[in-house]
Amino acid sequence: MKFLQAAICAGVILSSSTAYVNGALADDQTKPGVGNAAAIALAKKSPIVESDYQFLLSQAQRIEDATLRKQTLDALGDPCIQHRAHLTDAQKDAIVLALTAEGLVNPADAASITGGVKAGIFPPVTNDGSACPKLPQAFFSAPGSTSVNGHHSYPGGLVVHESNNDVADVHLGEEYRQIYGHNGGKGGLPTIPRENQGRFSSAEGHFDADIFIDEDLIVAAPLWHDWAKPIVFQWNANGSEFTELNFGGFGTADNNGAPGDSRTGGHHIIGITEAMTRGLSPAFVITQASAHSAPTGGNEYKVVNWLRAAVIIARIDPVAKGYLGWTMLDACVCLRCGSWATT
Amino acid sequence: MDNAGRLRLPALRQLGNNLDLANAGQTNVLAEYTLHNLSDADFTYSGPAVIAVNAVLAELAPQFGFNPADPNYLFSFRNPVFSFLTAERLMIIYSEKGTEGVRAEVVKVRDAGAT
Repeated sequence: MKFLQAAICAGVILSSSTAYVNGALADDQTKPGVGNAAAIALAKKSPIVESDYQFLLSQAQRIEDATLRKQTLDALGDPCIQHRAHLTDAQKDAIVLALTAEGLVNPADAASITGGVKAGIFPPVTNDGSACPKLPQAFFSAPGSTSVNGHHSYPGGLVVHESNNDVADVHLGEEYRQIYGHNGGKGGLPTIPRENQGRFSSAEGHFDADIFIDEDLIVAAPLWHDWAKPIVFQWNANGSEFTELNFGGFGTADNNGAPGDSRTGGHHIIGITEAMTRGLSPAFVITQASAHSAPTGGNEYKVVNWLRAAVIIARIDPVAKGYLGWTMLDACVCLRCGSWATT
Repeated sequence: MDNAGRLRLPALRQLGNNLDLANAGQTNVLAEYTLHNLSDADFTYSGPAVIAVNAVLAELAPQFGFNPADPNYLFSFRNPVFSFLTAERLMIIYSEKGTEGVRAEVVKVRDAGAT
């Protein structure tokens, strides 16, 4: 963080590059997408987009934790983009410099983006730098991915994707409770409850389980994991999309100096940044950050690098906020140990 | 940080109760992390579905008065069809009924005035 502070003070301005995609000059990604209004108009007319958006809002209403529920409902509506509030051009330049110095972005990856790395990490938004920057398009008009060949790559694709994700996550949580969470066997040993055999898709769920899976995390993480897509995947005049910058790594030795590539779609890291800025809990933010890779099977470094990138953009201390870094030894000497028992 | 000086995921809840998983070469992982990761895996069908249905729609487009080479093709035909029907639905229908099945779905979009 010391480097970040120094970089912010230095205010170094990185140059941007002219972008060419498939031999043609791409739309200028330093300005809001010319096609955003058309995408909003189209998405508004689609029954499935409208119903999926309402489904997401209804899922958010299910969240029991008041802070998480409030922030989620706000984020899905017409929010102020909190990580961009009062952010100056000099601060953006310093953040880009810090990410580059930390090996969390490879400038070569921005070669096809008008505006370069800076435009990739800070896509244009409405009222940028004000107290309340706004999404450049409606949440419900964003696509699910970039390019015409990506998943859910159409106006409203984001809410369709997230609806599917949310149902899947809720069912996965129920699956774990059903298979691993009942102790009805002889001597209190676990079994699959006899009453559930033959009806594995029971709608009432399995909330009588004796294992804890946080339903708030299950419900809210899919609603948040692609939150930044309305910012990153803006619409060009012809109905195609902005080019996304992949970052969160350099692409060669990202595994603590060992070979590894932790670059991922910028929307993922920008969404984590917003969740951190809003003060959401470590358990929630790490759950959200695991969307693009579970931190298992040797991939913990990826999630860690995405969190590192996000805290640089959010300009917060990851250890103080609890997002990174604590081991048992740290926790034992920590005066705030009690906070780790909560999510 | 762990003993090697690497930033690691924190030991939330009781993960750090009696064992230091991070310094034992393990990861402090909650079930919710992996469940959320699995829930985001729909791209394995959704991506190929978009690509395949793009091709089907390009073939059908002239029947609805659109030319895939037209600069307005995406916003005038391709995007409305996907926004109203989804690629997954169309791919599943195509798998069962072929191009004619997809055409019947696109007719619904046209009749709704979306293309």
